[in-house]
Amino acid sequence: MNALATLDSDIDIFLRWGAEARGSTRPLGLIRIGIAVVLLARFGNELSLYQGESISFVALGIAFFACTSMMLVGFKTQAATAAVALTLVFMHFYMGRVEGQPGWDSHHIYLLIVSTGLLAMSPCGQSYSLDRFLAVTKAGRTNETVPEWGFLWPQRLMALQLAVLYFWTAVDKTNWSFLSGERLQQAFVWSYSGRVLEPLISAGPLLPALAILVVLVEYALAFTILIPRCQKFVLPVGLALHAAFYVLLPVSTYSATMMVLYLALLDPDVVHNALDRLQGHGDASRHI
Amino acid sequence: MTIDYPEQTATQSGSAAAIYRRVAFGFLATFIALGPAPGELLGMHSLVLREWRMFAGAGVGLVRGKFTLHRATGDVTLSPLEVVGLPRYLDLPINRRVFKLADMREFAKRICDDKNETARLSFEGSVGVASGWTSYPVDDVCHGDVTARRPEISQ
Repeated sequence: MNALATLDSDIDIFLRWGAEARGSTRPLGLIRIGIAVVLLARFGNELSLYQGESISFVALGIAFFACTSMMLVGFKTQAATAAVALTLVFMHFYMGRVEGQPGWDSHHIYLLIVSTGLLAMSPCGQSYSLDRFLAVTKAGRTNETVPEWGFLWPQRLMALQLAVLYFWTAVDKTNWSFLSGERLQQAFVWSYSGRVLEPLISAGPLLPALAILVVLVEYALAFTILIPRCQKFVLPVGLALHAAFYVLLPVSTYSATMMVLYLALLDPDVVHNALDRLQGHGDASRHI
Repeated sequence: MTIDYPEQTATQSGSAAAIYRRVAFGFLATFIALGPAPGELLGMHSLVLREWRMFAGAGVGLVRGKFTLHRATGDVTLSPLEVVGLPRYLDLPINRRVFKLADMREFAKRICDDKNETARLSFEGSVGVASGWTSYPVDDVCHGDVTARRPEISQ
């Protein structure tokens, strides 16, 4: 009975942490801009109009570029972000899973879908956006203030997604084929065959050591990145891990996506205040 | 410094909006947290509930070892990249990876389709599978369907 009561209380605390979170929307605004840039970098070449082999592909490209540009500048932000998310879902499931075109159903793309979908449910257009500029201009005439805060449950879900991703990817690697270094060796064979650093492939005990280190770091990140007092120690470790992935393996925009999403882990009000300090004050221009 | 936000009725935990928010958050949090479990723990893969298998397929279907051309003048050893005719594996299309014996011939088609090359081409080495490397010796790569040594590639 006691255990049930404790579980009920834990669930209640978790729901309060997530569902009732409120705060500055600046981190969400920055995540929106970061993810839009990542999307343009990741799909810009593949969806450009000169790649189109059919009218429907060209239409998909036009929809993608129009909506992602609106998401980037923050114009009609929520609708544009939702449209980007739907475009990504179509590309992922239809082109990747149904038509079986290589690359479209990768986990990196799935992570971009989840992130964009959650952004679409968030007030990510309330900061650093054309929507805000227009609202502030309009409010200026009537001396109203435009709030730069909102409900942050989608941001909490992004943070949860990061921890969950680390946990399950570590679980997936907790087996002999990875810990022995074989799967890492496969990745190196793919990336380094015929290159100067090809000897890395047969690096003996280095590969199992690297494999074990990666799994340990991923488990540690899974259980600590949501704990505020641990973040100043573990976030740099996570960022270093993704930087290492980026320079060692052809992970494309995955590392950049993860680094942008790290903003979701930070206290939004601390980020807001830090940006205030960074950007100076309203009178700054008079002193230039 | 803490920022104080104005209270609104929608933030009160008993209001309808707060209840909807809790339900939506709870549902999505459960989906995110436990979605990968059926595939990862029970092997029940599905379109919607997917696992986080980062970089797991990077080396699947790649060939590691040495090819040998058995010419009358003597054996000539070739690396997989020399056989496939590419400077690096990153340029190898997915449809030229090796998942079955016939794919090995496709991998080596530059040599197998060369009418001037009549020597038997054999392979000693491994092929990448999801669980690591599997030994995959092939006596006659170009005419593999009539050779005796052709183990199945187990994924």
